[in-house]
Amino acid sequence: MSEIIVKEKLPDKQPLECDVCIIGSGAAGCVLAYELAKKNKRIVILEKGRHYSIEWIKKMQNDEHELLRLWKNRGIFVSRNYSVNIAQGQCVGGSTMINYGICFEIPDDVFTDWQQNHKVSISKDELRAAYNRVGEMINIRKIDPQEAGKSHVKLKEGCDKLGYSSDWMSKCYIPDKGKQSAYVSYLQKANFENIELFANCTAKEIVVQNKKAIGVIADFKGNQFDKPKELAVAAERVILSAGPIASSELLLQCNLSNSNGQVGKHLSVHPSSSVVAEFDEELQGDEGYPMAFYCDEFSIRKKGTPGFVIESVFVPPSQYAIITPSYGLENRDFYLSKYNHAAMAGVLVHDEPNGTVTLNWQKDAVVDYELSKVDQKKMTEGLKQAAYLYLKASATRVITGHIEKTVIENEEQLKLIDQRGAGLGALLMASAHPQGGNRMGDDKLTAVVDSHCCSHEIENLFVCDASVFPTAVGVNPQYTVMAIATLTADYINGNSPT
Amino acid sequence: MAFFEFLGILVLAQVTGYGSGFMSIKINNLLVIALGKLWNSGHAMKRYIISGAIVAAGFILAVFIIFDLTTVVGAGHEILGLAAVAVNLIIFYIIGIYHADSRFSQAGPIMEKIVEVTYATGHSLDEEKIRVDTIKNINTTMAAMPESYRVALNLLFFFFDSRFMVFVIGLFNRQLWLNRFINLDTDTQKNYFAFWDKNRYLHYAIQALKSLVAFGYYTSPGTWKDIGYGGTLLGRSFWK
Repeated sequence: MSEIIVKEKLPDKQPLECDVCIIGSGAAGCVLAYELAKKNKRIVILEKGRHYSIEWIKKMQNDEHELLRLWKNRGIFVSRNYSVNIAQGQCVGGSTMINYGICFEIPDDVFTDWQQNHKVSISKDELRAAYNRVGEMINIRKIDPQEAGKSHVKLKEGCDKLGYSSDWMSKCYIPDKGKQSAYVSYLQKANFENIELFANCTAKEIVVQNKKAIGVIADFKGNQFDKPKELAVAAERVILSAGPIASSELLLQCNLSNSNGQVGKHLSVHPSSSVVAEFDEELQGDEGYPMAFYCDEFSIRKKGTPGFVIESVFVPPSQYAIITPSYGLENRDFYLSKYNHAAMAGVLVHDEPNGTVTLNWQKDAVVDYELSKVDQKKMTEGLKQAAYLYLKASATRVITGHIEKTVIENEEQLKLIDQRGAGLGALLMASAHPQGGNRMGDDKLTAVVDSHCCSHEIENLFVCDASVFPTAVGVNPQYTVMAIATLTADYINGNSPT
Repeated sequence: MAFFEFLGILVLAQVTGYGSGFMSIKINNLLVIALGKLWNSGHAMKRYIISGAIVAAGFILAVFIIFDLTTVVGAGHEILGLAAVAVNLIIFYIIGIYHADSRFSQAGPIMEKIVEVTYATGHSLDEEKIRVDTIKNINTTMAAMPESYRVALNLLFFFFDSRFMVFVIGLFNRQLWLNRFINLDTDTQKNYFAFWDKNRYLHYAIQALKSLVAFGYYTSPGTWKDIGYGGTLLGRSFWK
């Protein structure tokens, strides 16, 4: 299969002219590029990360350190108080290259809240049609329980015994062809002739004239060892799709679209913490899927109010060692030695949007985030329920992600989780779903962009990624990001620039 | 008598210069952690020059007020005496900075010692390769971190290794430990690390070191066989 050509040299003539300049090539950027190029728009994509070919990934698939190159800072980006690590992809394809391709639609109650309380004027029918189009492109299918692996079945057994709502996840993949990341499912199928892709290219300024976006200035390194050279792009429209943290960062750096002071506000991260359960029988979790089953009994899908989802996962030993107690040989002998007997789950909290993205004095993004009291309760309850489910499935012991050693061997000991709590410094927490920061909505006083993802203040400037979510969706957000990007592309294709 | 008094002032200037130089590195690093990414040689150099000038000016003012320079260095030589004091202070200030900075680059040996203390069994022929791979992996991870995180980790290594912390924790163990961590014998190193891990407050601080070392260790393929890991899980996230 031919792959899209990534530019290695600056164009002979600058500024490079195009119809639409897209900053970022993740879930939204790839969809936008595909849909716009299909309608003969000339597209320039500026991606900060490098391009890794499918062949390179195949070659490196068992080398964790090499694969970490696809992550921003090799996977380390912590909030200012060090309470949560936020994983983000930084390569052509963005986070869709590194995630597990899990697809959920936005829960009805969340979308109704967006419509009613945040003045989002997208209709349910429009969103449904967009989901359908994305679904066809990325090949969503429910995970086959026969292939998922025995470790995931353990969560199902617990849910079945307690009668909890649960199911196998849906993900975007084609058997034998692999995960359909946005890079594979959209960018590789796009009209290459209309797209110019610059990787290793950091957008540093959105150029605005008379309150209209007219282009982008970027630092481009054809090769990672080159010195950066300036690339100027003249565009009729600029779309910022760099992900919630980087999109807010660039808007703040350029001081754009922020008269109401809303840029970087209302960030959610879907904080998650882990539960590891050990069983007598061998489960060989590493031979199954990395993520496969979920329990939504306590989520907004069932309760109508934000709660938590329990998702079965399986992680490599390098992460397993970090989330289990003790250290060194003791950690190996008491915990890692049971790696093949383990099942794991992550408790994903549907959190309140109380995080912020600001700039430090060197104008780099800093995230301030702390679990609210309400979210601490959800996290504690989630860990308790996850531990309970595994005990019901006959786990011999369950270990939670608390920093202080917390090992549960029977239901009586579940109260230990209450005692540990989920306050600052109590838990190892991670996030793979930052959302918000540049809220969408038709009220200019409270939102950064309108329902078409167009800036309220700067004409021809769009922000389109998970940063426009007014609140967290409470489930894996990739599918919704792609659906919103589809609607934005339709709007741009149907309307001339102002 | 005046000669010895002047000699005393010079020694005091040297101690003050060295101490303030040494501390200014540590304070700068604390600023990096508190304020975010501000570490680079340009900014740091400016801060060191300013803080050195302030220390020198303050010290000379104190000497001028406290001592009768006409009797200490002789009438007419006051300026020369003060200049000698200032030069001594500044030379030792620079030595203090370099000394602290060289300690900072010792994070590598401290980390290697932690790997040995936590994972070495001494029973496996493959152990040396795993140790080398682990250290390489940790260095790769640290090199990819944002500068402010790396500085924070280096400071933590520093603090963990310091004679002061070893001494204090030794007292809690009713032992007199007078060396830095890397110079303790292996059993004492193990006890010292275990104390950090079991102490309710130090436990949080050492979590970062434990995570870094464990990550480096278990990304070394040589460690997988023992725990029955086939090494294919990550690849599966791309292909399944």
